[in-house]
Amino acid sequence: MVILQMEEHLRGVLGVNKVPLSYLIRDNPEVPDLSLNPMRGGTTPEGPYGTAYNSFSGEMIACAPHGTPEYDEDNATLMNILTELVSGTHHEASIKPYKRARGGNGAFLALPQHNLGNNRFEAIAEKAEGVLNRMSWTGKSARYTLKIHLAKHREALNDLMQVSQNITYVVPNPQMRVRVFLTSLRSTDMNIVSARNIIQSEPRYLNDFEQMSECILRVCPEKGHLNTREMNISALNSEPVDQKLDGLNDFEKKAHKGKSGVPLCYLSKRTYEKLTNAQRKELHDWRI
Amino acid sequence: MVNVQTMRAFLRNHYKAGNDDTANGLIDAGLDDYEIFPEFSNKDMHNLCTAVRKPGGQILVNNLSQPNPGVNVPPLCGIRLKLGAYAAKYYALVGRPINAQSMSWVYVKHFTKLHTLTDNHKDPDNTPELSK
Repeated sequence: MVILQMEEHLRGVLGVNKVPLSYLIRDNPEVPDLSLNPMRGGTTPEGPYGTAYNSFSGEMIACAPHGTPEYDEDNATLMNILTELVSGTHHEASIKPYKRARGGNGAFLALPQHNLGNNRFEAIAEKAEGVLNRMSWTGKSARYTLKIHLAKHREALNDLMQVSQNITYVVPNPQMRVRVFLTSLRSTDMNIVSARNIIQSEPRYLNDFEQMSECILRVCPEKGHLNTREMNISALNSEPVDQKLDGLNDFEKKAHKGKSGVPLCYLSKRTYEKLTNAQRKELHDWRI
Repeated sequence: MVNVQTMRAFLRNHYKAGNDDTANGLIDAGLDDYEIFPEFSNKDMHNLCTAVRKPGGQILVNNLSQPNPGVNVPPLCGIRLKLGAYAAKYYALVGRPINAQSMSWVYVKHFTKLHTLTDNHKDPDNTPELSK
């Protein structure tokens, strides 16, 4: 979602009039009627910007006019940023028609049109749905912590919200979101079970994913993995030190070994001299 | 066009223009309307205050030619006028009316924050990367 990153990036770049460059790519190029949006400030500690905005920059982005000489300069700056961004990628062709006129605004809008068609959004939605419906958390993996699982769900929903802004898609409501998350918890750990019971009995947790996540992390603090992990040990082998034989040749090393550790095969004289009595007896019995 | 008396009272009440002489000096120098504020840059406002303080030239006093002594413009007045011009530019940019209310000090004082933020702003160094 580099387009989203670009929007954020442009908020941080100031243009000729010290307005964040994201005003170039706002949804509505028309300047809103500020008579419907009275100024706050005065005796209040907030700044003198409209009540519909929460900062000076918010108002500037929404209200800075398009079509002025400053706008053209800023548009050229945006074009430079985009040229640098897509340089060496197949997206270069998308912005090429706008290069001569230095139309950064048009180039920016062309990028998602050319590269983020309905198919692309459907693929994003499918991937996010996969995360929500198929990924489960058992608590057995030290690397895949509960916090990461929560972040995955959060990220998937953000993707779905982005998709819904571009194609027709119904985003799961908060209750659905919490239920899907609880379903994905496959751990039988007592802390998790009790956290699930607490969440299911409290409407405020059931209706708010963030409150639910705070609750579950508080009840079941993040740790490497849960204590319920069991280990199966298939076998334990030990060999007395005095029965180990050094200086075996390749043939002797590959040979099947007896209970005393002696290779059951023809042994060289030098190896045979190193054998204990028990080993010599076992070898003798094997030969007969 | 704003009435001279109104403008004089406005400059005295909101921009600490000291006395009527100072306010009159500023009005004579060009600050005779609220809507003139966006036309002044920081440096222009500094030059305006300097010109009012030391206009130069000669004036007639009792039919005697004397060097023009100018009028006192308090430093605080200069600071506020600069911020007023900055605020007026902002209003002009976003399309808000520039009038007695929006140019009053209770509103204009908030622009110190924006001014500081803009002065200290640094553009991000790295642009986001696009997959090939």
